[in-house]
Amino acid sequence: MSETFLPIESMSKVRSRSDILKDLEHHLCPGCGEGVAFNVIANVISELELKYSTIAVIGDGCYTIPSAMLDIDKVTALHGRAPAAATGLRRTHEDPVVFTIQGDGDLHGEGVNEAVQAAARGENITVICFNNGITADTGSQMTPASILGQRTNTTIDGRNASQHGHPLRMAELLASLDGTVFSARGSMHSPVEIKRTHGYIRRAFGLQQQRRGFSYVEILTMCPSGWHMSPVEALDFIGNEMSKAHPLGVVKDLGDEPGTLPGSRS
Amino acid sequence: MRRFLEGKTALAEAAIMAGCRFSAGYPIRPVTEIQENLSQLLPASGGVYMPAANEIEAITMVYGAAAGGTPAMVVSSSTGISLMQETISDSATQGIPIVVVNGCRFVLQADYHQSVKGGGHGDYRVIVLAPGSTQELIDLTALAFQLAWKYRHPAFILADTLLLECSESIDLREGIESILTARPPDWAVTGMRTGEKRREAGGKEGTPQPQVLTGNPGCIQRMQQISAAEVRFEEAMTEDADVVLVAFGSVGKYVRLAVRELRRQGIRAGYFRPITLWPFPSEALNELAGRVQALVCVELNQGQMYEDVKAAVEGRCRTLSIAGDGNQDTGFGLIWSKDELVKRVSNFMVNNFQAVGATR
Repeated sequence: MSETFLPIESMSKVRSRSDILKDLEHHLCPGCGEGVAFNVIANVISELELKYSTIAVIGDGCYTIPSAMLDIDKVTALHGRAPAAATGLRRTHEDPVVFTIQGDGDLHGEGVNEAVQAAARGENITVICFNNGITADTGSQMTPASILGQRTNTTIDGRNASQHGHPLRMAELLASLDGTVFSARGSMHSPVEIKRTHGYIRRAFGLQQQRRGFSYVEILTMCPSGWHMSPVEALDFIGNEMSKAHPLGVVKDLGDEPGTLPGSRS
Repeated sequence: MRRFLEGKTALAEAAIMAGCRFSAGYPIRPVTEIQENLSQLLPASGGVYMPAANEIEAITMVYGAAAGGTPAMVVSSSTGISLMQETISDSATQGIPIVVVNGCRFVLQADYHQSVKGGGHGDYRVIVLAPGSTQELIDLTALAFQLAWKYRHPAFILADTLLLECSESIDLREGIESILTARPPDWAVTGMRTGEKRREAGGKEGTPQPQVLTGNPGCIQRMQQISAAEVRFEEAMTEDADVVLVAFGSVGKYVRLAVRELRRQGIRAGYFRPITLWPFPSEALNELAGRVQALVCVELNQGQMYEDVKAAVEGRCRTLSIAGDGNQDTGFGLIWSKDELVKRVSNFMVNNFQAVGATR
């Protein structure tokens, strides 16, 4: 067996904990996808050298307190309101990359209007959504993003379309708006998807630096505690079920060409 | 230079002079024209006006701009302010210095509670300034920015339709002190920090502090400082007064006519007008209550400020609430009928205080 491993000297380090992710205590559960997502965001900020040129607007959820780990300027917003607060910051600060971190309760539920309006305006911000299909911070209740059949504390027999309606797909909804230049959905359930998600955020921030307009990156994050699963089962739940209802990949990318969006420099 | 200006124009121009560089709004009477003015004045002075999709989005944009160190103001009215309360209370507890104009609608002073007591969650108060004339609308708009930024706390301007739609000869001084500085304040979130200490606006940051259990020490400390230092009021003819009429805002102006008429009729009346509704001039009213026979609280609502007056008086003198809702049948129109006011105060004094009746 041992010969199947590469000798250690032939390996190179391709990913590590980002230098802007402070070594703080956090209260994320074992197996949570949000810690991984924070590291991905932090790595992109490091790569693009944005440590001193970015503002994060943090929504309300499990990720709010752990966001203190990000060693960058931050503003907390009320539940659902982050894209509007980010707009106020964007319109008064030309240079920094402005992005929000929200959950699916925050974005798909409380804050649809703020996100849709910001996208329609072509607001030059990036909205990042950690989607685990539940309001995990309050103990696992249904959100508009919960998939059909998903069991939560308020849909104990599973979400069914006749009573609870269908899941809201924000990546596709926002992509349909003219002001959206980039929309993608990644996941934290496998190394490949983590790497792709890294690329999506990097792409979104890059387009924002070109003043191209609104960008959206949704990240499916595991919630073993809220889903009442083991961490390994939670990985499979995303791979086998959640990613069917919320398909992974780039939904829209208008490319690098100078746009005609409001606020674009060209 | 003196100019003849409508309240709405004056307020917008004063805000720009005071340093306002960002506003967002959703149209609502009677403040729509202030928003229209700002949408032209702000870009002309290097600022930004955003027509928002609704009031909640508008005030959140203003919250974001203010957190980023840009003097920002939101202008709305009654029902619009109700929608904004969540962010107003959040700004108070988080220390975001937004300026809010509440142009009260049909019942001119119905939004005293809404502004002064707050409709949002949490243990907070916001600075509330109540101008009584177009000139004061300008001066207090400038003061609202100065106080908000001095204390990093939200400030309200509680105006009403009458005040905003009246034109008066005013002095829109070139000398209104601007709060704009070359560099954004230390606490502002700009994303460009080069020092060691990171900027963080908002109280939920940091290690998992039991924020909800301890309240917000910063907010409480700020409110104590404001209460101690920023009480403002106007009084006249109170030295020898038997009765003092207490009124705020545009009603405060018309009450003066009634006071003069009462004096002509031999009743020693005085006049007291709170300019800051929070912090409320409780100590001054309490002191006054110790040397007059009665305080009469005159309002165009169902007696909202009367609660604060009674609490301030602590039973040291008699109090009377003259309150109404603009119903013509009761003799009160959009503003008070002077004669009705004089009749009521006069009857109250003559019926309750023998000495007052004897002097007539």
